[in-house]
Amino acid sequence: MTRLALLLLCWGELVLAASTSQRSVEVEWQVEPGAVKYIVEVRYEKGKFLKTFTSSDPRLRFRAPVGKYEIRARIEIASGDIGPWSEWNALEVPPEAPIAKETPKVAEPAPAKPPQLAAIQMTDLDAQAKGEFRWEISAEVTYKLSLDYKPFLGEQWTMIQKEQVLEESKSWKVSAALPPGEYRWTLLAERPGWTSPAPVVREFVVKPSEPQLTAVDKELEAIFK
Amino acid sequence: MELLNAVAILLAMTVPAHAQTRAAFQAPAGQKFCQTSTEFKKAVQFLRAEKDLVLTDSQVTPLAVEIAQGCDGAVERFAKVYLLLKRSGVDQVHSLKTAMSFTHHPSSQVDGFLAIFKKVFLANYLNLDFANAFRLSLEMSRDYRGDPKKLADDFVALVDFCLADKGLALDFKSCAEVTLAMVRYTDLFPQGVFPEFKKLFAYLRFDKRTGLTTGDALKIAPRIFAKGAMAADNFIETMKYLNGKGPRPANQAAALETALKVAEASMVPLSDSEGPSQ
Repeated sequence: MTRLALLLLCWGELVLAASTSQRSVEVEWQVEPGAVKYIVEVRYEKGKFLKTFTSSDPRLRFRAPVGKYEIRARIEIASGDIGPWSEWNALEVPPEAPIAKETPKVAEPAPAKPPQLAAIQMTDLDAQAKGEFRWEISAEVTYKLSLDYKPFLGEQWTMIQKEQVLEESKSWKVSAALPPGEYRWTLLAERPGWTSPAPVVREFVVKPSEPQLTAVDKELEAIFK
Repeated sequence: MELLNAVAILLAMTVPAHAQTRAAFQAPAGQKFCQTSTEFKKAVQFLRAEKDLVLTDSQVTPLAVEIAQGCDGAVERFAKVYLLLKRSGVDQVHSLKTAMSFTHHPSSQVDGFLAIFKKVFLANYLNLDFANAFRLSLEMSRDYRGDPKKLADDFVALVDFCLADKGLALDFKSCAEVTLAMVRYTDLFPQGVFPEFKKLFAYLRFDKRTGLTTGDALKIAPRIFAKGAMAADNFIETMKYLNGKGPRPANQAAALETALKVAEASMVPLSDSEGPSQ
């Protein structure tokens, strides 16, 4: 019997949801060479199974109530062999932000929509990864992004990037130069006279690369030769 | 011959006589002599050279003394662990404390820690989160009571085989579960579990009659390996016998169950194997 060519589909490599407006969720991921079909399972965060989807394209759109879910996927190749499941990954369907209606009687500007995080996949990035934060943009709103760092097993966060203002931007890429450790980024939306009351906070991890750890052996050789 | 004698005399002259005496002299049973002054000096040099450690001499001295108390090779053991953790992004205080805790342990435990930590933590291997990677690495090296080198070699071989396309080709999480389940039995095998695991898996998965799925093969493997070095051979031989000249089983499931029962008797308490007392 021919051994199955199991192709891993790591969720960590996916570029996540492009849109979650009106409780419509769209998920995209990188094309897996050889895949003729993608099989996707979605379940509630607490483990109750929700639905299985199949798609011939590396994207999927479905409707789901506001809440927290988990999602995983695997591929089918032309021979009919099916790859193993990816790990379960968190997927949040946020509530639709209320859109303020401007009235002539109100002189102050209407509150802007808080930043809507359309896509975040920030766990276990290695130092070479090009992780990217994305959020939906609102008109006339600027964003302030700060980044904190904490070493593994450390107790205190240190701000390493202070409130960088991002105008007309809806993404921020992780620098490949980030040293290993834990990171926390905070995103605030602002417009004249108004600041988003609740910043969006997400954490991610940068792991060392294999060459970084292999360099330790050379360093030791140099010290103790 | 005369020339050889001359060389021997010359070599003997290069080593101080008192050092030769000390080297030849054995410490009392259960103890050993240590070149602690050498370790102390090397420890001071290392701590001073580490640019990330901003230490005054009054801080360096007690640290270097503590390292030197680990006897010969302590500085190297300390430096290996410290540098690995520092490069991995670990907090400085914890890096120092953990490295210090290895100074009194054999080098084989340090090497085991390094090998296992890389395999469990790095994104291209098991990719565990830091807390679990750190805990498991310590459990399987510094805190391990068996042969740390055998365990580390076994662990690394199992991880590589599990992740490889030509091995089990499983995902990170499954490989973490499989590997950790298997290394529980490392001590029951002269060369670790891996050689027997590979042999048994090949039989279960690819034998024309048995041909289990990877998942089913992995389910029954622990039942066999829990019974030690002879269990895999006992299992395979029984299966071959049942599928050959032995009593014909109702089906392959029945054959498997019979072979498992035979294999599970591969290791029993001594009193049972000796039979009932007369």
